[in-house]
Amino acid sequence: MLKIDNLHVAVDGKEIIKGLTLEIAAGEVHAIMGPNGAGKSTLAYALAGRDGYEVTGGAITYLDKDLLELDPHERAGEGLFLGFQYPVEIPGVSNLNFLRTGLNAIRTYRGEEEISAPDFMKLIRAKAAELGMSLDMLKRYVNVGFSGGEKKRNEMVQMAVLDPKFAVLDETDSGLDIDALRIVADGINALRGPERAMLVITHYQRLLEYVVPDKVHVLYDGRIVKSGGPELAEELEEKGYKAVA
Amino acid sequence: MVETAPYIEAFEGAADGLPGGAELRRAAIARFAETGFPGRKDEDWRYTKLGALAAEPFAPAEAETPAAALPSIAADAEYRLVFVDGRFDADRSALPDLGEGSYLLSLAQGLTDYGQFLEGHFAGAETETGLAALNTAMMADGVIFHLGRAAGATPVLHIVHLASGAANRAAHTRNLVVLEDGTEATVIEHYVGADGEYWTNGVTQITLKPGARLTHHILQDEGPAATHTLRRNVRVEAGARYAGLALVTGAATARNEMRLSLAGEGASARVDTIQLGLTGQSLDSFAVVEHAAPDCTSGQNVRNVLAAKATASFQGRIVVNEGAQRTDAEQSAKSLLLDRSAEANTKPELIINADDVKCAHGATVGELDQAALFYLEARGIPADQARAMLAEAFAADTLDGVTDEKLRAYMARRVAEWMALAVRGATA
Repeated sequence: MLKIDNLHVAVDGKEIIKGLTLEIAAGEVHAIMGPNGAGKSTLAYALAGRDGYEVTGGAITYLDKDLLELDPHERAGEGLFLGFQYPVEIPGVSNLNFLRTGLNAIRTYRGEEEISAPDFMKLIRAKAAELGMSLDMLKRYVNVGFSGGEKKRNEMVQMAVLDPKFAVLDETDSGLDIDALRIVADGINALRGPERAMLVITHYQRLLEYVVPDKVHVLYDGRIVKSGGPELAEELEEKGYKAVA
Repeated sequence: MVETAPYIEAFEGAADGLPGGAELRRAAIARFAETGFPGRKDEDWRYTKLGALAAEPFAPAEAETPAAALPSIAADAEYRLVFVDGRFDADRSALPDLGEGSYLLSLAQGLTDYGQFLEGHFAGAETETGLAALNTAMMADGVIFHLGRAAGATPVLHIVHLASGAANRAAHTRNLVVLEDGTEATVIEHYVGADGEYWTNGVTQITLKPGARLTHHILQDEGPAATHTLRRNVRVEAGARYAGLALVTGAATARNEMRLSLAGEGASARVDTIQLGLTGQSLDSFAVVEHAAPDCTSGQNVRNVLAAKATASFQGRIVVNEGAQRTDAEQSAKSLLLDRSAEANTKPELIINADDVKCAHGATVGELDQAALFYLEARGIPADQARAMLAEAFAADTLDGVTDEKLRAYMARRVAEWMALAVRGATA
């Protein structure tokens, strides 16, 4: 589904990703672990197409398309979802408006009809309830006044509503207490399926107790230095990145 | 500086045809001759570009055919006063009786029937600025609205100004609004533009007697080549409240000037402004809020969104008089520049002569938040649409102050249309 080949990414002229190769097939969940500054978030932003994350070499193929040719909204239209490490606050735009506009933009991109207001409300009510988010919160401005955990939960609601084919979750577990972590993990697990794939970026092994990945990769200084099964996460937790890398 | 002679000449030519007595008009044109047009050396006018009035003098407007239809929001309004090039159009208007002790009529009618009485209200205007004095000399029509104490209802008045776009014509309109003790009303002043170089020069005088409440919204949607100068004098007496939003999108040059006095204890005012400027427009908002009595509250939110060489300015002066204790005044002016060619000027000014006073003001100028923009794009929203959403959001809290849902929706739609246009212009 996703094939990253010898990827190089620079930010402000400084190379952060230095030749990363990774392949993820449909139905798989991969975890990327690594210390601060290894390039985890840079990889996430490069996949989503953020301005300022300049791909200086290599290729990314997603569903047989050249991902790097697509604008960020087109990538979303193709079913790519980025769960943000730091979800942005947007005063003046309600969560409901934000989500409905996003969903309809994606539908329009795919040549589908826009969702009707009642159908949208039905959908969002169901997804919000599953993830323990109240409708009142969704009526408020995007992430404004939300706690760290609520922001991450909101990312999961967005993911559930937009129903992506491929999700990149950038440290979705950071800043969560154990209850919130469980809810987020349930949200991720609910989306696992043979047609979908996920790349879970995390700093700690904690999330991987709830979301058991098919493969674990260690990102160190812009490269994947080791790959393995779920047991690699435990090894990392025990010995630290330096020993493994 | 714009020459006064052609305008004085135009007055001489038109004077005999204007309604009411000549004395007030003569005094006003003398005042105008003496003060002239305001120039940019005058600190209060430094951001207003009146150059268009100089190229060729603007003659008094005649009744013509309007270029646009009545806006939907006014089409089914119960109380509706429609003007075409500043002249009252009875056929397009609706004026049901307001009941005993209340009056609603056109200025031309009023000056003909109750000339001397009304001139008493207008006297004093001769000490005004040049533009207001010219208005007093030339005023041909407008609205007289007097809500008497016996009025049981809370009328909503739509004053709609349609333009023909006839070149180099000036409409000098004058409105007089008096709400007696404890009465309540809404006035929506709506300027619907046309192409062509014309000039709207309006003056509105408002008096709110003790405990009266007026909601006053202004929608300024003049044509792209128009000059629009609007002046409001508002007197808010004890316990009375004045509130409203001015949504300014039109005219090549616009000046929206307000002089408001909180004249009695416990009076309050909430005056918001949204200025949306494109393609070299120059939009200037000027406000003086005077706290002349104790325990008064005033609030002003100004939001400017600008692109493509547009300029918006806000000069806001808050004056707290001696003895106006426990004043609570706040002012917030924020500008969003959609590209680097746009310009925003904000000049807050506080003059405080009392010691127990709360005065807060803040001003910011910024660009769209890139992180928020990417967040929207990552959720599938194309860049232009995302930019428009964020720019709309910037004005949203100010728009939320409009409590009439239908009107707020109408204004929100206007803002959204503008944003879609601006975003295309700013990226091109």
